[in-house]
Amino acid sequence: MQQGITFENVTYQYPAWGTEPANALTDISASFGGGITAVIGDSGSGKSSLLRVVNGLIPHFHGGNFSGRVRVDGMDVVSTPTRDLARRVGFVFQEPEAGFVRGTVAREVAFGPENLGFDQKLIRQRVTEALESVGIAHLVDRRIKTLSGGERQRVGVAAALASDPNTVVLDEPMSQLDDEGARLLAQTLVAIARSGTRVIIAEHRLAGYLKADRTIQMHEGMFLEAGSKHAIAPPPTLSPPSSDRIIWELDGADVAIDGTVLLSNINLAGREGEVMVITGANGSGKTTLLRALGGLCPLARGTRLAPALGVAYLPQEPGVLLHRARVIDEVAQTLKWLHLDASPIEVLEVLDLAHLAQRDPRDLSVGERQRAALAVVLAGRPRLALLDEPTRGMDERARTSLVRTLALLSAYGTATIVATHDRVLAHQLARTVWRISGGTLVPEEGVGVS
Amino acid sequence: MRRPGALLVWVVGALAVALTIPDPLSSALVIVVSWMILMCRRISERNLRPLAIGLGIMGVISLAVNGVLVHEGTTVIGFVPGWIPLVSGPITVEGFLQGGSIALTLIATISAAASLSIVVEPTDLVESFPQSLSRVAAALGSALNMVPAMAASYRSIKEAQQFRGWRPKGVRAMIDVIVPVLLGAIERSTQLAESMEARGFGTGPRTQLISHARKARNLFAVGFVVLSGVPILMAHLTHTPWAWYPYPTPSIPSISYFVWLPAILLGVAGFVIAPD
Repeated sequence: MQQGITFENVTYQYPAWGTEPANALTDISASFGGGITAVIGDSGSGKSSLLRVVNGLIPHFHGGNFSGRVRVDGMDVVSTPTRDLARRVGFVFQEPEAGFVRGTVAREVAFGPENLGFDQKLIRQRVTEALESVGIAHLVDRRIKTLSGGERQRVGVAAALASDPNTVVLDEPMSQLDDEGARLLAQTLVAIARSGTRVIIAEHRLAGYLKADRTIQMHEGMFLEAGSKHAIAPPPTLSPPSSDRIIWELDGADVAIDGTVLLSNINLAGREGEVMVITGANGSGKTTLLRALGGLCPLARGTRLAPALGVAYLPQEPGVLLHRARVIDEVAQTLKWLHLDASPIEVLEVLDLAHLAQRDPRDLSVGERQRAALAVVLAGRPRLALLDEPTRGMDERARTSLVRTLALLSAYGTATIVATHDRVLAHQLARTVWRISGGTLVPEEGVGVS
Repeated sequence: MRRPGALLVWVVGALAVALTIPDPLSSALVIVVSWMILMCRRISERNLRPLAIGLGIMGVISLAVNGVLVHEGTTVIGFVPGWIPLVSGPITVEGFLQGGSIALTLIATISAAASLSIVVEPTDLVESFPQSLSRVAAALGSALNMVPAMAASYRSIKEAQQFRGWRPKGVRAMIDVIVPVLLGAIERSTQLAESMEARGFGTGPRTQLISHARKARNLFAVGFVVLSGVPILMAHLTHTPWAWYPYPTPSIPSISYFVWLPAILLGVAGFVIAPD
């Protein structure tokens, strides 16, 4: 059988109702050999669409107009159903938890091999090997609902590896992982590539973790010439806050969930205009700290000071904020609820998002949705902004834009707390970076604006 | 969770006994065994307390409402004056006893159902399906996963909207939460279907990581549950009167084997299933 993956003049449009369909992919021709191939590009550049062609989700699952020819190990993608391509291609989605079928880690990882009719002994072996390869063998009997976001992402990778595919396709698998998780995943990918499995990965965070054998850069559904890159203006440097006025504070705070103390003796305060970054491993309690500040988690001990009004909260899942037909409608709704007389398009222009104003949030890429959600929560020009993993799925351009936005808010006097494992962002944003370790806060060494 | 399938069968039997035998003794036995299962499975007190309080309140309401509203019976213990509409008339011991009997039936029914819903995760239940139904089980399991996901989504969306200034004033305001919950559910179903397709669901005959050996203990328990249905069926077929009523004068509950045999068989099955 002919090995390898080849694209010949592939053009694709998602189904569209009432609007002129735009090309998600335009005249793509390429071949993917062994090793690791990185697919990079801005949010919405067509990376996810390209990956979905490899296992036939495009066109079989998504429909739309597809032309050209794609062969995976000799199998024609258009004439082979996705479920049959599953024997050859393992796929890791951007949000693997949305695709979990089973209740426990072992059963979830076994789902693919079970579907493919592996015998029981082989399923056990594959589950064990897959979990070991991503460093979560100890979680085998855990319930998925008890895992952190990063642990769930690793379960998603293990589930893709368990069917022993020739090709593993990963769509931004590091977006929720902490440093250690990202490093471990990178090591895993190198190891499986060495063992002969083809790896195709779309990821914004590869630098510093993984060196790909080849890199494909995408822009507006097309391949860019190797090495070509859009110039991105460097992010602004944030000025120190001009005010000494403390507007939020946790004093001797213990935060408990279901009777278990997750964070203890937290003493932290922020001034008007100050940007503070909280880092920590997956499951360390970053989200819990933000929720405690927002009044969503009661304190078991200590006191909390925060503005009674004007607190904005960006949750990890931007979808909870976006359900209207256009991004501009969501921004207008925030302004209406807060009784503010501002123009939604001006808000989007200030945040460098005017180009998304008329788009349906459900049609946006993960990074674009994240930016739209930011616009929605920041439209009211809050006094305190709590941002939980705001760079999830964001490309370099979007991240730079985020820094610019936060600099602007800082100048207005908005205090911001960002929970993130994105070290680059932490370095760009804050003078002081705090790390949650063992349920308490410690200053992070070597990170922060010098 | 061990023996989810056997527990499901037991709960079906317990519901049949509680709902078809209007006798306080059989209801009491179902309550005792249901709570024994909950205790044996080490369900935390924090989870059980609201259930116990709710059942207690329901029992008291049933007792009070029946006692005050039903004026049948011969043992009068007081009168509600005629100027109070709806409830005026004699208050009888028999009315309270009937209220107690109804309360026991309700508590038995809810306790039996709770011994399944609190102890067993939906995914455990569908994963206990036999090999021949594994495809149905996988589809059902994924559908059941949507329920807690929607509940979590409702909480997240409500919180996020409140930070944007939304206030839950009236039914119309709830649209701003309910519509995103429903849209999110549709989106999650699409993602789930995409994931299942990408992982080869529906390719051909499925195998399973864990085979469900028909363990003797499970078969024994299921056998007892099935046997408990025989006297109930016979009582129906032979038109044997077995219902206990306190009217016109209170009596000791029946000791007909049509009543105690199903309850005892069910109790034995419960003892077999209970340990984790």
